[in-house]
Amino acid sequence: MKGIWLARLQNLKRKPLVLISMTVMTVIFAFVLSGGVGSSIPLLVATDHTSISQEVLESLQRKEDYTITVMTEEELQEVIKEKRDSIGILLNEKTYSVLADIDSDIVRKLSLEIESTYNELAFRGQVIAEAGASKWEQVEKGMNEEKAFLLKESSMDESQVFRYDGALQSLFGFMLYFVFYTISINVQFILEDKRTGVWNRLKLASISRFQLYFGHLSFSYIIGLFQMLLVILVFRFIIGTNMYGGLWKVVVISSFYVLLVMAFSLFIISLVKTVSQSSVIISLLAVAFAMIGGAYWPLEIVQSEGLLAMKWLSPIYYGMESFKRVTIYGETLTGVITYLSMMFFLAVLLLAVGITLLEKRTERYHSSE
Amino acid sequence: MLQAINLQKKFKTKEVVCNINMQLEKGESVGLLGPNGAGKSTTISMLSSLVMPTSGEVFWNKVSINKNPEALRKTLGIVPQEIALYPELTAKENLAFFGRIYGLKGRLLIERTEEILLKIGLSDRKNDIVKTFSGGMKRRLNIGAALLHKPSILIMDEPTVGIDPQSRAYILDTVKQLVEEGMTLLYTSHYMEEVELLCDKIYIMDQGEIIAYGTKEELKLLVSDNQTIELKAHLLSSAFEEALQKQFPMASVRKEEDILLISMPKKEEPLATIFAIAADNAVTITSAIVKIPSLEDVFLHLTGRALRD
Repeated sequence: MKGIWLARLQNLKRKPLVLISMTVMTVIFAFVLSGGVGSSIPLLVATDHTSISQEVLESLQRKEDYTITVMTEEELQEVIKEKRDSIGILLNEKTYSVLADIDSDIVRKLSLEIESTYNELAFRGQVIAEAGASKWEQVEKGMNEEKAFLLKESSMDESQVFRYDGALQSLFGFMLYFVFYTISINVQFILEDKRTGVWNRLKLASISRFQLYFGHLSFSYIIGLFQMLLVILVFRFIIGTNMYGGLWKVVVISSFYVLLVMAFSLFIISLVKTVSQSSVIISLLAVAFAMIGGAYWPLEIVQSEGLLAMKWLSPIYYGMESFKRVTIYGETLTGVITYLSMMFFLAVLLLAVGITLLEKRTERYHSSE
Repeated sequence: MLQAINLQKKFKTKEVVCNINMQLEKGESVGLLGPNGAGKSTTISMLSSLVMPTSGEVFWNKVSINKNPEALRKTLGIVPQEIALYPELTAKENLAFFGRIYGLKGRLLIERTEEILLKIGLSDRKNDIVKTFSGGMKRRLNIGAALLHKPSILIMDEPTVGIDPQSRAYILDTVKQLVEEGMTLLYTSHYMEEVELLCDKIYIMDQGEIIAYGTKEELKLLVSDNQTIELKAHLLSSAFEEALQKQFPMASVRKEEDILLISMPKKEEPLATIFAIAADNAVTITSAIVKIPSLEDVFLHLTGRALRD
């Protein structure tokens, strides 16, 4: 197996174009189609420099959802006039104003958050004034406990609501789509080795079938996962995409998705005779899967019942849905266990069928004179 | 010793190989001759343990390789019809890869790689990427990859297909040298001259069956033990024909247009006598061709078809 890895690495060193191009294309497409920014919302904020407005500002700054630029009230008014798509917030001691041209979901959510912060601060001030700082500590402790319970309840409810994040939609969609090619092209080495006779040479050198398949598949798996991790890390830490604190969950889901795509690619190559046939089929299927799996657009906007029913056939659907749930909807891995289990069991099934068919086909190769 | 007993291979209902019996002794070079589609590759796949026969058995040193393929695999070198190499790797990297797979490492791997590169005449191109090689060079490297672990038996499946005459000659020389060094060889080809040159014993296959086997001489005897002499001459006369017939009473002498055909047993060496008779009869011979049967004639005789049909 070490030998197979070494040969594949040498091959990758000489032909790195597939990996590089698929990674770069994912970054470019996701970056361009998400509007060239991360999914944190840019806010322009001016305060009256009172302690209350400063505390509200700090509270907003602590949230990953916003990129905040602080300026004076005059500057804010000027910028809002010039850039009509910007969102500005004027924070005073007892009031606040949200300056925006349109009344969007974002504006409504923002208003609610600011209002809630003001209420909390006012409540705190009242408690301290009436009963002292120690009483507030007790009240705050009680509130936090209650809040944790409420949060859990609200996340269960919110999973039923359609939430959309353009940046994550583009990132996840293109990442899942392009990695399909990287993995498939790598898995095709099995077919190529069988066609050229290298596979037989290795078998005759007493390399077991398990070692042969495991060597090739594990390499394809690592390359696919590497590409996904690279893209995720670039978007999270360089471009600054907000993943709603679900970064590690995205990584875990990626590992399941790569396994499924690898198994699917193996299944495809077991049905065809040549690498070119396999490339054509994989290209067609990748596009189809991306469409029905919600990589290009959210499935919530699809009306056709037929198309929606077909989503279960697409490996991209399982990946896309899990990614969205652990990020935008804030669910835990347990919340997407159904998707993860489906990916795992489908992968095992496709691997078993693929290897069986490939072995039968191999015997045919020996007799093709 | 490699022995195949009643090998049969069926794919679904189609029988591609039936009732194959073969034997290779240590140090022997055996040819498997037959047209494309005769079943040669399936046969060698079974002999090399890559494919399980539907029925029958293969033994290597009296051990069944159907049950214990490892017994053969350690000592077997195989040169497939395809170029079984990584095109993106250099010649040296390819050999190192296959050497490593066979358990060679360190100094031994380096030495063996250099030795093989020298043997196949690719030392000066060892650091070049294989996809830049000519067909002949790739074929030579294909052979080299099978020799790294010093096999005691080498199976070659049409190793000279699609290459230029110069490379072909080089490969044949290399194989001949291996045979002289004591390598047991099973060589499949549809080029009868290659099999004739390299092999002591020949099996002829057609439509999945062995239709004849023996030494070259034994096989040619199947066609005829006669030789035919074609004479072209000035002033051919009936007196000359009669004189020839009188000198060689076992021969048949006949004239076809301006060529005189003399058919007689192979054991006679008649040319000197024919030239003397011609001189006596004032006949000037311009050309004399002695024709003995080839393996091509044997195949034609056995199947009614030419070998390359």
